[in-house]
Amino acid sequence: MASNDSLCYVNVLSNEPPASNYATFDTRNSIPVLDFDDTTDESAEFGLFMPRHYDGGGITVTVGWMATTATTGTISLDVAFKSVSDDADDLDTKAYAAANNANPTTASVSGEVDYATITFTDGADMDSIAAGEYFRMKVLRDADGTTSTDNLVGDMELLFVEIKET
Amino acid sequence: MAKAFSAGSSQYITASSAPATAVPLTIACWFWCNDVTNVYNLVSLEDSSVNMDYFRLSARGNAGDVLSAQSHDGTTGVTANASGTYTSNTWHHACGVYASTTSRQAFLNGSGGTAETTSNIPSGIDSLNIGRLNWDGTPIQYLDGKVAEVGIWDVALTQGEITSLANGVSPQFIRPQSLAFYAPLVGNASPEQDLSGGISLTVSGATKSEHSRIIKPSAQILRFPPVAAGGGRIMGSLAGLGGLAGHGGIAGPHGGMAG
Repeated sequence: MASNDSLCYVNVLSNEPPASNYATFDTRNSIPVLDFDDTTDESAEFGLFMPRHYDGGGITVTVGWMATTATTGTISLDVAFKSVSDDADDLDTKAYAAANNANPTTASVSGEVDYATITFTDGADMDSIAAGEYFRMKVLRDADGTTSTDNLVGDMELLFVEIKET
Repeated sequence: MAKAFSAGSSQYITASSAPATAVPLTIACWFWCNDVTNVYNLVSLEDSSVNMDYFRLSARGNAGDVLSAQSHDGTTGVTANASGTYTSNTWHHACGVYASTTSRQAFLNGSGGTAETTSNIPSGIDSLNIGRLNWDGTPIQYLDGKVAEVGIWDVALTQGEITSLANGVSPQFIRPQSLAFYAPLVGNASPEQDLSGGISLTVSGATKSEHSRIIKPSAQILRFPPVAAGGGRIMGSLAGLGGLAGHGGIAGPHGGMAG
């Protein structure tokens, strides 16, 4: 697998929401999006499969997002992974590895999509996900700005996530 | 996004046709009440003339904060209460199963109460209301709260199916061949649409609000096989909303397309 090639693409309809503080379903011009609050940390989760041609390197996650109305401000955006190895990881108990964060600025026009990227090195940073393994990915808006500044007013709308080999 | 209703402004959603008119049928939705004081109509299938025939789900804050599945034959009303109570300012799942003319049962968050077994046969059902009840020609019990993900089936769902709904599974996953009506009430459209039966829903004042927790049918799952030496190769599969399924491929060293 060559560097810079796509591994997975996630549409927001694939969201498997957590039991609480979940991003909520919405549409924008009939296009499905997930809304993330500007006051409460909310998340979306996705079940994915690492392609067998993944070469074991680091990955780059691209998050396509918009602001519902805002044209200024930044969000604190976390992405975290949970590998699920054969006969090893208990889905009832296993936690996500530590998240990596980005601090993107909203597009200058409401409705334009910002492509925010977050990189993960291979190994523990991405919970050592291996080729041919099911894994889970969490996307969280850190609305209270624990990790970086989140001052965007109103909802963040998640449109897609792409994972590529860095 | 859901639809929010203000009782003080007499807001509601209505349709001049009914997706189901007689038993067996099931009505389900997510609801949010702004208080546990008043009685609110959530969803009802009704006779629009000056009669009092209906099947409905109601949140009865004036009766111990219970969710009720009720029917009325124009003369007599019968009520089945779910077990447990609902709270204000929280999403709850409501379901009413009207299995026969002598059986109706209410489920709150998947937990069913005792079936009510008095014979009761509503007739003339020809309309649908969300957020109010058209009682003898006079609308009452306007909702102060929110409703989302309304589903109506022309069968009696099972406990297992109702549990799935209460766990956040979209009505589109639950016996879709019998799903006569499905209105997610995302909140952006007016009229709102029934995505299953095609009924158009007139929105009177209800506004967009944050949606309930929901697990939707998955959309696209794309696979990206490796790039071959000397050229590109991309294959994709598409499994889409509402049972759509297909395959598309773009293959070939110079971008030739094969579908």
